[in-house]
Formats: sequence, structure tokens, C-alpha cells
Amino acid sequence: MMPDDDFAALLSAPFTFRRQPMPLPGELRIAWRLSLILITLKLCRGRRASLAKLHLLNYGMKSPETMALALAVLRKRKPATDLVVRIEPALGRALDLVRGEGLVELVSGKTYRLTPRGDQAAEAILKDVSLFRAERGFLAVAAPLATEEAVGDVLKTDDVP
Amino acid sequence: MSLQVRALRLRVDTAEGTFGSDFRFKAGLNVVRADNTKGKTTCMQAILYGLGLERMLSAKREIPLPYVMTTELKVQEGDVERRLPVVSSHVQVELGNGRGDVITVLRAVKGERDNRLVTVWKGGVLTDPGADHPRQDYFALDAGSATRASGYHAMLAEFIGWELPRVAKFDRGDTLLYLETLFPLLFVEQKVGWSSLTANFPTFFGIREVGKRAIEFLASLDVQGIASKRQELEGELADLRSRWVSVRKQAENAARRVNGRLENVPAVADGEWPGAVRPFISVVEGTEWTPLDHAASRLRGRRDALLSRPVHEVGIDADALSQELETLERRLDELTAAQTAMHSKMQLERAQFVSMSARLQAIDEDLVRNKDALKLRELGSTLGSIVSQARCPTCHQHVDDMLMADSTGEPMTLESNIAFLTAQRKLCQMLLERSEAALRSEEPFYSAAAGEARSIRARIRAIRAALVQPSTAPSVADVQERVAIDGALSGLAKAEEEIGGLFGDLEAIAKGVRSVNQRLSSLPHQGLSRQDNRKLDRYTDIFVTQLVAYQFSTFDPADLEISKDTYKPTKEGYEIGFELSASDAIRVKWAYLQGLLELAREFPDMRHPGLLVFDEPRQQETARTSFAHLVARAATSKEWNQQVIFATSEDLDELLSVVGGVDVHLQPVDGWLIKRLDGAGE
Repeated sequence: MMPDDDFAALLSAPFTFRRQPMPLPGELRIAWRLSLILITLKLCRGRRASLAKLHLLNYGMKSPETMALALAVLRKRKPATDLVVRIEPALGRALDLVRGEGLVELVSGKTYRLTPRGDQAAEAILKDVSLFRAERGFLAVAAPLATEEAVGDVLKTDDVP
Repeated sequence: MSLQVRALRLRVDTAEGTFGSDFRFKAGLNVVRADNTKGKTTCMQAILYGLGLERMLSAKREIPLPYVMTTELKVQEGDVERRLPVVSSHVQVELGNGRGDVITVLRAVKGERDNRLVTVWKGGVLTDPGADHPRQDYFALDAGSATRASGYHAMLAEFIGWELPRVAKFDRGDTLLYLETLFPLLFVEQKVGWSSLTANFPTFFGIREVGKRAIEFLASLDVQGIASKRQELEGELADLRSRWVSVRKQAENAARRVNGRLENVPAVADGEWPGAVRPFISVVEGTEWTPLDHAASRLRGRRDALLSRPVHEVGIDADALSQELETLERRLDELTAAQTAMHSKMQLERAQFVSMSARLQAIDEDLVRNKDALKLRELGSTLGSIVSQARCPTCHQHVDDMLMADSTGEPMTLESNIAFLTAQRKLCQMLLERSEAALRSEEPFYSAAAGEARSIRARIRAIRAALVQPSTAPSVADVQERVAIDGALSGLAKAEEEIGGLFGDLEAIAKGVRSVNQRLSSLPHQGLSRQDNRKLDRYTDIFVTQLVAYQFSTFDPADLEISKDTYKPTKEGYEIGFELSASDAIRVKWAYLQGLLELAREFPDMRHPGLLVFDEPRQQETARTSFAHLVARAATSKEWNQQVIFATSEDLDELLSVVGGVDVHLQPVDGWLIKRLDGAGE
């Protein structure tokens, strides 16, 4: 038994509350999203893509359903209006980070391109075939279809940078 | 079971004629002596290549032979050294087995001939060139080389007298114990062979515990037979279990057709079934489950009562019919209400089921992403400081591992996030199963209610029709009831008969399960038979005596033994390895492989072919006296009609002083191994 004094002292000590760490969807993890951007660019023609194209491919990779829908639209089997591309703020943040790391560079203010280091990193990721199983399958088909022209058609706007 | 190399021929054709070399080998110890880099390894590798065993060294199908056989050779003319390109080259090996058969194999190294083709003569082409030996082509390396009749390794295994067993793979299924997995215990080549303490077994075949399987095969340990028997029985058991599930499903469907279910039939096959509790079928009666025979006998009682009297005239029944009509209409209202309630309950359950399925899918997707993220974090430095140190690349401050603009809290670590999702998944899976079970148990009541409503409607129609008939006519209602009962009874009888037959099938399956279980439990538990124990004890003796002779010094050799679990050298139960000095590691290897050869002398049931090849056994500056003892021990192979081949670059005089007084077939090579043959060719 502890003496009453100690007990009182314990009770009068200030309480501190700490928030439980919260679960986070994998797609909001930095390592995951950075890597996905790298392999997306790697599988795009010339290892480069506009912001609009990145958003389109990014949205396509949300779920198996969006993958199927995005592919159908890119193949012109479904009207572009069926695909409402949502702009995800996390992608913007992740793009800032990969640029900060020097893995990706912005060319003439509108095209994102892999740097040689980024290219190596993407290579390292793609080498482990267990990683991004679904996403790499989608990109292999969708990236060649998503020419800047096709992206413009889907987004129905010409002034997206 | 035996294999001996009788002769070896190397041939290299160049624009300036044929070059090559010939060797003869005998029973007992053979020593090929050549200076370093003059080609003794070429000679050993050529034997390996001739046997089609290069995949023992690596999964790649690289030709394991040096430059001189594949690309170009050097010719010394006075002080001038010239290089001659190789036009074509081949290897010929003459082999003998214990039954007196001799074959000669030819395999091309370079040239137009496909090196996967092996020509085999039934006879000694190299030692008896005059005779006309029949020949046949076999294929090596390709799939089926070890199994098909025209496969080289299938032929070779048969020549040695081996019937290769099938063994378990890492992923499911089984595969042949290929020759490439056995020869590491018989053939130590110089490049990688000496790097392991016992033997370097190829892993790319995906064979589980390949080293153990190889020893078990060569030493003919019963444990292998026991293990494969166990495997076979377990396969049989799995087969019975899946048949149980499918027959049970069939019976369940038959029961469902009469709104019934099976009682006392476990979902998983049980050897003790049916035991004391007999299986039966119960059916829905109103809101209760009743055994099928009770329901049937009630129906039969009613039918017999009806049949015992003639069909009523309408007049007699009119009042009773009007009353019945009223009751039936009330019951129909009740049923309709109950059906609606049940329907909405099931709808709810179904919605729950669908949403749980969707949730489960979402969790699975997220789990994949989280696991990917965990793996990617290991790439760390490749992805920069943000991933490796959680620091912002621009301002170098700490960054939480999340991509949200306004972080409302600290994110879970990836590991606990994965644990969290896994727990969620488990819960979700449980709810899904529960909801599926609820749907399954609700359904018979729903369809029973629907069935009852249908028959009530038919009855109501019949009563109405009867009530408007002339009062002397036979009652339609009376007739309808008889017909309805007959229909219901015949449906029940059909289901009972079908399910009864299926119960018989299930009983037979249960009996099979019982018998397989009995046979499984009668297999020896620990695996090793008494004879196995005797062999392994003796192996330890032979191993330890050799180590003493070879001056093994890291530990007291008496403390070592061959493990009865792994068949590797152990000390007090622990595998020995890194703690050995380099030269002691070589001594262990000598003693282990030479020991297996000697063990075969005492146990004639062993499948060891009595062949041992060491390319440069004196590794790591092992003491000369140790080597002398190895040579002396290897030379004893002659008395047992076994064969040991050493290739070494040890100084010839020194070697002779070491092996003096020992019976050795010495083959010194002067200068280059591959020499100009000056028309002396074939």
C-alpha cells in the first residue's frame, strides 16, 4: 500500500491526454504516394507528364472500378462524361515533395519529368514485382493511351497546365 | 548401384588441326595432376558437363567449361604465343556401372551441334574403339530430360540403377529428386563446391529440404519412404474431405427442395460419423422444424382418413366448408403478413451482407497499399530524406508520414496500421459469415410460408368451386385435398430416398477417413527406422575417426555427430559452421563426403554409386599430413570396387612422397592439358 500522502500527490499531478495515433489509408502514406508518382512517370512516354495527365491517371488508380472506367474512357468505349476526375490535394503535396527530393523536375512550368535519380528509384521499385501489382498493370495499359491530347479530350478543357 | 568413369576425351577443332586430351580412370583412387591454370579443372568440369550436370552449379545453362573449349586456345611456338579460335569442340565420357554395362556419351561444347543433344553408345567407344557399338541420341537440360524415355538424365538414372523418387516442393505439389540435387554429395568442383561444409545443393528446383532428401535417397533411409507414405495418405485424406463436402452439398440441396435441412451431418468429414446420433432430415412445419418422418406420417394419417370414406357430396360438407373457408382466409392473411415481415428482414440482412462485402474489399485494397508502403520504406535512401528520415527535403523539419494538408493527429505507424487493418478484416469477415448464416437459416421458413400460401390458395379455390356446385355433386374440395396430400407425400418420399442414398455415400467416406487416420497414426512418429538409426550412428563413427586422422583441431572431434534430424555435422545439437577454422571446414567436408562413400560399403542397400570426385581437395593450405591421410583413405576405395578421382596441382614429387606406398592411378599432365594431336585424332 502506498502512504496517503503519495496517493494525494499522485491525484493532484496534472493529467495529460495524448491522442491515439490514427489509422491512415495507405494511399496517404508518403513512401507509397511518392513511389507511385515515380512509376507513373516512368511508364509514361518520355518519362514525363502534365499535371492534368497525372491527375487523370491518379484518379484512375483509386480502385478496381475506377481503373476499369478510366480504361474504357481512354479506349473511347465510354463517353468522357462518364469519368469525373477528382483532383486530389494529396497528389499536389506529394508532387512538391518529390520535386524537393530532386527525383522529379518541372520543365518549362508545365511538365513533370523524372530526373536521372528519380529514374533509378523508379527502376528499383519496379524490380520488386510484388509491389504495386494492380497499379503497374493499369499503368502499362493506360499510360500509352493517355496522350496529352486524349487527356485534354477527357478533361474537356484546354487550359489545364 | 554404381557409377564409374572409365575414360574421358576432350577434342577441340581449330583451323590448324585438332587439339585435345585423353584420360583413363580405374577403380580405386585416380589422381589427375596438372600445374595451376594448365587445365585440371577443365578435365573435372568436362566430366560434369558430359554428365549434363552443369545446372548443379547454377540455374543458368552456362557451359561450365573454360575459354579453351569454347572460344580460343593458346599455342606456344618458341617464345611466341599465338591464339587460335575454336571452331568446334566436344567432350566424350565413358561410364561403367556395377552390372558390367558400359556406355559412352558425347556432348558438343561448341560448333553446329546442339549442346542439348547427347549421343550415347552402348559400349566403350574410348577403350574399345574397334567395335561397332549401337548408338542413340538423348536430350539434356530441357524439361522432361529426367522423366521422358528419350531424356538423357532418365537414361543415366536407369544406367546407375536409380529410381528417382518424387519429393515435396515449397509451393504445393511435388517433383522429381533430380540428379543435380544428388551429385553435390558425389562431386565437389572447385569454383563453388568447397564453399559449403557439406554440399551445395541447387535451390532453384524449389524442393523442400533438398539436402535431407538427397542424403535420405543415397543412404536409402526408410524415413523417406515413411515421409512419402505420410504425404500420400494426407493427399488421400484431403480427397475424401473434399468429396464429403460435395456430397453433403448435394444432400443439402435435396433437402432444401422440401424446405428441409440436414441434422447431425457435420460440415467437415469425421471418421467417427455417424456414431450414436443418427443423421436425419427435418422440414419446416409452420414455424417449427419437425423430423421429416413425423411430418410424413401426419400427412399419411390424414390421407388414410380421407381414403377410408367415399368422396363427399357438396351438400354434406357445405357448412363445414364455409367455416374452413373463413379459417383459411384468415390464415392466408397471417401468412402474407409474416412473409412481408420476413422479406424485409431478409432484405436488411442482404443489404448488410452487400455492405460488408464491399467493406471487406476496401480493407483488402488498403492492406495491399499499406504493405506496399512498408516495403517501399525499405528503399528509403533511394526515395530521399523524406522517406528515410521523415524530414522535409526543403526545410529539414520533421514531417508526419501522411499527405494531408491539415493533420488532425499523429498517424499510426505503418506496422500498427497493418495490424489495425488485419483486425478490422477479421471482424468484417466474421460479420459477413454471420450474415450469410442468418440468410441461410431464414430462407427455408420463407419458402415454406410461400409454399403454404400457395396450397391454401389452391384449397380456397377448390372450396369456392365446391360451394357453387349442385349439392349432390362430388365435392371438388374433398378431391383437391386428396390430390394435394398425395403431391406433398411423394415430394417428401423422393427427398427421403435421395438423401438416404447420399447418407450411405457419406458413411462410406467417413469409413475411408477412419481407415486413413488409422494408417497415418500407425506410421512411426519420429520418422527414423531402427536401420536408419544404425546407419546414422555408423556415419558418425566414420566421420569422427576421419576427423581425428585429418587432425581436426577446432573442437574435440569426439564431440561431433551427424544429426539425426538434419544429417549435418553438429556439436551438442547445434550445427557447426562459421566457428571452424578455414582448413578445419575443408577437413569436415572431406570426412562428410568420404564418410558417405565408406558408409555404403557397410550397408549394401544404400544407393550411393560408389563414386567421389574432388577438384583440388587441398584447399585453404590444409596441412600436408592431413591431405596424406585423405589420400590413404580414398585409396581404400579400390578394395570395394569404388572410384575416387582427385584433381590437384600439388607438386608431383611431394605428392608422390605423400602417396607413396598407396595404390594410386596417377595421371600427370605435362604443360597444357589441351595439346596438338597432329593427326593422331580419332
